[in-house]
Amino acid sequence: MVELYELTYTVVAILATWSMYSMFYGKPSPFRSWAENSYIGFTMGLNIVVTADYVYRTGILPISDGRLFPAVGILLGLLMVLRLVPQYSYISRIPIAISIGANLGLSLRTRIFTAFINQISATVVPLWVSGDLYQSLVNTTISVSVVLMLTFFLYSTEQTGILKYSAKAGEYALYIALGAVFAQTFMGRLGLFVGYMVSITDPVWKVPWAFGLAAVVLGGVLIMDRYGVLEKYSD
Amino acid sequence: MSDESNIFKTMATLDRRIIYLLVFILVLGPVMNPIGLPISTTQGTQDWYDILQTLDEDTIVWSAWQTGFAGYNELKPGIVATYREVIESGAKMVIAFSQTAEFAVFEIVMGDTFEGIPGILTATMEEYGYVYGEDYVCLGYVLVNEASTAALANNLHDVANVDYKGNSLDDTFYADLENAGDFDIIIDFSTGMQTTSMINHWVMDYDLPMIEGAIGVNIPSYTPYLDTGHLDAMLQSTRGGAELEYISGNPGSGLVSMDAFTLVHYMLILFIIMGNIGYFAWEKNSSERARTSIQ
Repeated sequence: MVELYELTYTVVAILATWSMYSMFYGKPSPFRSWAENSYIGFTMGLNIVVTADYVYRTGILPISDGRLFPAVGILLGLLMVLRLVPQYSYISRIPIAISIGANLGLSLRTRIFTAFINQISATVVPLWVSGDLYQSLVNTTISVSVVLMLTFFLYSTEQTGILKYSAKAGEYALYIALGAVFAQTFMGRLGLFVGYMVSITDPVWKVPWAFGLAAVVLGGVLIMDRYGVLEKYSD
Repeated sequence: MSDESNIFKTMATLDRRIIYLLVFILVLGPVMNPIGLPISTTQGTQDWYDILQTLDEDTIVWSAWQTGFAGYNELKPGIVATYREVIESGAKMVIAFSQTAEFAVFEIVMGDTFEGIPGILTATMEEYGYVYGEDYVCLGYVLVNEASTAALANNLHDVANVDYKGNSLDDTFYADLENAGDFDIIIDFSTGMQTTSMINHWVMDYDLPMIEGAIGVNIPSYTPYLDTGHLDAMLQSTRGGAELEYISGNPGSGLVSMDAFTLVHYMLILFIIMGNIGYFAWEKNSSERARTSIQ
């Protein structure tokens, strides 16, 4: 027996999904407008509640326990709100400057290793791995592609002679990489879609709701389009 | 052949709604009636599974949930299969979120023990006696940005002393943990929120092993971290989750999805070929140059 709680959120979720998918019809629809605006509203409400709870748990509770350091953070956060008061908006630059400076320092301390030095080290690999042809091919491809692609990004040097050919080869290597990224992206987006289709058809009691609500939304769009009110009630 | 009946023109200007309809049919058909097309497993997923097999009751896992609903449906097979293995191993787990919607994702997978709402893994937890407070705790939304992620690595209790429901954690194993150095491994499922922050401040500073469940878009950007050794294994999108279900012997939604993946990928290849034939045979030399077919 399906509980009312589960039935309610399942039905609303399926209706919102098909409403969003009504964009595939090729015209604006009130179903999509309803789903889109509801999503924005719910997300904003959720963000406010969860963020306020985070401030309470990590800021207010420690202060009430006698640890006063979080008060500095809360004070800086309140100063940020002064952006809304034109007369004192300049004060908000103080917490913004502290935030940018602190985050930059925090990030650069390790990122110089993880995103730069260690990445270069990982590129310097033996081109030939004895007894492992596949790994040799992988290592050679990585090393050669990096060099070719770097020559493509030499902007201050005229690309003539051998540099011209290596830059062109680097450009094609870049296209191949972009193709791989595009394929991964497509696979990921399809995974999202397929995963959700599994969710709304499993367990089997959801199937009538999935197809019934699809018929309601599609029928609604067709009827409204027939009477020319589809775009009138959309935003 | 007249222009109106030109098959190449049809190929170049095919109504995109036909493609959408075909995608729906090719996805919903096999999802509701799985065909069981064969899949292979990759070394990356095998590495992931081997790492999970090293977990035991003495292991403490830092479990980062960063999918939101935008990534959950793509990573669901991997999340469920991975945490089923963690529960079966008896490893202790501290769970943290980086997205506000993660509370609902967590409830769907792990249930809500306080409200008595069952999740996908509730039966497994009951079977193995995996209890909230004794075996796992949830800190909630604490991986807010790089600063909070770094602060947690330095001192957990500076950031979080209560769980996601506001309950005290003083009587749990969490009270004995001090910083990132007290954990044995990071398991992260992410759409890319604080993953690099954890690599920067948890993996770099405390030399923690980390395994990453990545959405398809992020696979190319995280692969270099496998080469540098910052990541020990990566589970790639729904496909990786399906492979893990297969290797661990617990078939689920991932394996069900694979038929749809295969069919839609074949369809995409077919339409790419058709579109290119249409372009070179008609559109390139045509004065019409029609790019859309929605009239």
